[in-house]
Amino acid sequence: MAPAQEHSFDDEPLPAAVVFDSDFVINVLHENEEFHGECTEFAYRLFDNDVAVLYLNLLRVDFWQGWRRAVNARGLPPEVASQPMLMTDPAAERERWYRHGDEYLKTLLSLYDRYEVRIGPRLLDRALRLMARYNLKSHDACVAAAAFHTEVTDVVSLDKDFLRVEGLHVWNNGIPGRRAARRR
Amino acid sequence: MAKRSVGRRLDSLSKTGAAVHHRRSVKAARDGRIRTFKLSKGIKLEKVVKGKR
Repeated sequence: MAPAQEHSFDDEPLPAAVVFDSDFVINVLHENEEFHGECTEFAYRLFDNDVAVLYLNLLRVDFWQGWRRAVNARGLPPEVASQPMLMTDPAAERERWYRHGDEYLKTLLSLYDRYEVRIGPRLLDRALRLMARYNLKSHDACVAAAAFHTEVTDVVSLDKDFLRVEGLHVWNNGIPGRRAARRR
Repeated sequence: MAKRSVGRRLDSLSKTGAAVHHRRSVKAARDGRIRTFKLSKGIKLEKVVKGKR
């Protein structure tokens, strides 16, 4: 089985469109993530070259999951955490914080001409086949299915599992390999 | 795939409702900056979302 083709962030030429995976987006937005610098640089490169961006509507849900954990652990960015409590209603306060997190993601995505791919029955059916064929996690299978469904087969992801998927071009700057080497 | 054929394919997906097209925000593009954040307490969002690395 031919594996996916791996790309560095400085490879030429850039594709006309790419699919974003959540781990790349999180590494761009969160300064404490290990690969923040190189991912941000690549995000700027995509912006400068007018590359269109596709993402699953699940991306926001993924991001909320991480943000919620940060809120619950009171690990919010200092400028957010120091905002005065406006209400005595904890649910309303949490909603305000969650919306604040969502704004970071929306602001990033708004830089690009973008397509939000909806998960319908056909895409799910394709994802199930990919999950079985390449032993993918269900979320990754949905991302791969979106890539094939839209014929935009360039995926920006730091996840090594995509490298098993024949026909994909994975833009990862060699990060999965570096992670694996560190574990050895 | 060439830019034009990608555009055609994506536009056809938009018409069927399989994808929703959002044009680049003029205001965001003019600013051209990515707004990032730093969390306290060393929380790694990637681990939360994608599992342990």
